[in-house]
Amino acid sequence: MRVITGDECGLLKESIPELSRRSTDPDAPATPYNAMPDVTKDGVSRIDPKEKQTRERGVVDLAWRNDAGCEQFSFAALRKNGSVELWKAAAESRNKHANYVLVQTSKNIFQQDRPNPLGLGVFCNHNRICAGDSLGNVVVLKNDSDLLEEVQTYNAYKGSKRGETLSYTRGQALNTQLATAIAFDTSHGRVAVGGRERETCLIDIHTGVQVFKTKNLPPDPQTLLQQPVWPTAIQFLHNDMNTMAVGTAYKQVRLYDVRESSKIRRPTQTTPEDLLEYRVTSLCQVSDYELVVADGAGYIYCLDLRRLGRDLKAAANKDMGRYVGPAGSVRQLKKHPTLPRLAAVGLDRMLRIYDTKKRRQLDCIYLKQRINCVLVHGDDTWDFNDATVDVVDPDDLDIDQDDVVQEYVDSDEEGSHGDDSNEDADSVSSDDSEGNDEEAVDGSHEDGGESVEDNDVELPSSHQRDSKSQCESSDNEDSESHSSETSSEESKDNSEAEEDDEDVIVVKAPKRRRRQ
Amino acid sequence: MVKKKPHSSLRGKKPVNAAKSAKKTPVSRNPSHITNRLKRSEMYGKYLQQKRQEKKQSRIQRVKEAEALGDDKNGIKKAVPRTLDNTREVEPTMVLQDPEVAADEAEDEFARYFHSETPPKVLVTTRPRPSQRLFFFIADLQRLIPKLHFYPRKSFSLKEICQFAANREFTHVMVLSENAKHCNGMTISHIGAGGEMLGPTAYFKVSNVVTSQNIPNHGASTNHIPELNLHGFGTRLGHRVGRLLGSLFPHDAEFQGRQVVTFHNQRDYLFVRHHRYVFEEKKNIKKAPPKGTTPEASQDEQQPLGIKDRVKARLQELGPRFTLKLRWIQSGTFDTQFGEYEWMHKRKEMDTTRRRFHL
Repeated sequence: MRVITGDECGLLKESIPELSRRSTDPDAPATPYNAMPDVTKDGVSRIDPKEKQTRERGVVDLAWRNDAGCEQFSFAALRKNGSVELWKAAAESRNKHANYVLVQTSKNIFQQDRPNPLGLGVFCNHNRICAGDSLGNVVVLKNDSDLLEEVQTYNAYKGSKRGETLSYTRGQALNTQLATAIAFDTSHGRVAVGGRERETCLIDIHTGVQVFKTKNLPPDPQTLLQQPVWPTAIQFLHNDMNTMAVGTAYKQVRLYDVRESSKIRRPTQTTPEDLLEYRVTSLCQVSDYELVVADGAGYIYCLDLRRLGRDLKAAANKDMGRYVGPAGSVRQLKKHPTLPRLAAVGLDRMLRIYDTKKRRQLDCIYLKQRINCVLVHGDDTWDFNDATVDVVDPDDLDIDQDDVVQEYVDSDEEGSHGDDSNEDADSVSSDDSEGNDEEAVDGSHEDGGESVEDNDVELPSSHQRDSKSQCESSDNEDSESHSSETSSEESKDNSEAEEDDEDVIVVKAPKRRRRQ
Repeated sequence: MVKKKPHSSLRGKKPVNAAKSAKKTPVSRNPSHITNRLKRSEMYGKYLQQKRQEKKQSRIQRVKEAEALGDDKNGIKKAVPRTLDNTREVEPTMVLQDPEVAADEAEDEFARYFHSETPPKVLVTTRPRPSQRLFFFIADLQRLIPKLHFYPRKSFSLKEICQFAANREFTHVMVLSENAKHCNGMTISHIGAGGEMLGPTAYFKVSNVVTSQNIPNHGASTNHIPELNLHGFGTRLGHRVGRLLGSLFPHDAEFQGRQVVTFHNQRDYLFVRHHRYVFEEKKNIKKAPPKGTTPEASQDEQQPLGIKDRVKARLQELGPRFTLKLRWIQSGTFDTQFGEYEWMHKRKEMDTTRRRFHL
């Protein structure tokens, strides 16, 4: 997997987490679950080793120019001095760093001398690259194969029907943060811009007209105070790109319906007041109903969108999952296009990669500067030398697919060999068996009968030895003696008599999984 | 009295003292596996006794070896004790002469102070309605940090104070918080000249404050600019904190004053000390030649006496003595509501082992 990061000092770096892992010894003692995994520095290469490292050239945002999963990939980078760069790369093999070529670089695209750029987006369908700065200016550039040509500059706030001047809201200090969040709706060609005390508004990139402006929640009925508004992170949810999630510095996340035809401008869903404790800095959608929210203190939460209501004063359900790790503010979260992997990057100078299903940190790479943005390349492969990540968790198995449980055979019924089958029944029932599979029971009942007959002929000790060797050959994972014994009992009975293995699904007893 | 005869069934068997044989068999491992309480406690006693014996033996051995080698200091292998500092977990963010880090630091908010381009000007204030003891500490701080100006808090909010300070061209704002008449916290915020590089804000927990009056044999500090000694800041975070603290001081030290301020980091605790030093010549600097060598050989071997052999530095403590521990660093000025934290100490996640230190 490839991850490209851009940092504050202007360095672009490519990391391959597989290269940076130290080889784990399978016999090493298991680390406790809350131990920080190995943080490494390898596997990181500078994209341009000769570039100058200055804060003026700090990278503000990165965006893919073509499909994020192909071999020949290219991306655009927006720097703090307002210049936009286009890069191309060819990845030869999975585990080698790619060669990057700077295709085009532009000068300051904004009119100001010292712009404060916010974000960059690429509209592949419309052949445009769009960049926004903190005064609300949105500059649209043409994205024809390798040229950068400015098409138009709009101001997000002037697109409305009011006059030409930008108005400042009331307050003591001058509002210099007119735009603090920007997001790009690539399927519809719209840009969402939001600022301090300024509602998020969507403008169309072709015409620059304001298409949609969100409306605040009604004032609190008791105090009659308006809800303050300060969007700091905007994300379009790609169910259909019709919902927009806005994270505010007032510790809320709101969802809006932004269809063309939508008449409702108020938020459709919002997180309750006490849920988050710090300002929201980044949002990322991980699955259909899960939204990952990162805040300014390094807490990354996983919100379930189905559970959010409209009421701000609702009881905060704090049962959301957390991605543990970052020590400082998380600047960007990005999900891998196909695999369940999340990359988190922030001010604590680490790139962290998480498994979204278990919320476990898989890799932590030390990149020496404070990182502003990250891009995840979409190739499908993922290596992990620890087999326990993707191993089947016994808790996750289908409830029907289960241990084979011997039907209890009464000692009176089977005469002299009742002892044998009794032992079997005891040892099997002592496992944590979750339920009975009827077919398995039937099969095993027959087994029990047949194997008992076999037991008449052979000695029980040699019987066990045979099955144990069989068991060992089929058993290639480490297992404790208890489970191997019980599984040998099971497999002994099954392997002896029963031919059709489809009915009887032998599942090894749940082992204590080595947690990392 | 007639001597009792042993029983006839014991004829031909020699009396054996079972206890003696038990004493002779050494206890090889910790007898915690024995389930019988009486037996286990007995074996444990023997085990401890044995361990003490072994230790004593090894010590006698060492003394003998040392004596055999005589004065030759190279032969003695000094046993290095295992400490938490020795066995510290390897921190990947340790700075080890990295050109990237050097380039970053050459450009960060504090570079101007280290190159003496901008003189620092520090404003100190307290929480509203401070206690009287805090003023003694502030008076001491004024002797510690040159160019420290005190302003009473009255009831301004911190954002306002930062604004006022920026108006009057202060570069740093320091806020002391206290509880029950003891200073317990210090927030240092870099507001920078010109407002371009609004630097970080760091919050420290303050403990063990000893004002100069309470230090035995303390000296009186003068107005000379002290030298700065930042010791023990290894990791990236440590560098950042070290540079923040170092930027409080002007960097053109006046050596005639012979004063030094030390920020010593050990195990994430920062010890702040203010000393006056004086260099003195050591008496009896002639080193006796080692035993067993001829005089000519000793002449050749004798290295030129280093500075450490000739000169000794004596210290007199001045000024306050206190300990700091970093709690969080925010990027930008003081803003707990909407700020972004560069580093925040989360005890349950970060302090999972005793051997992990962050600075």
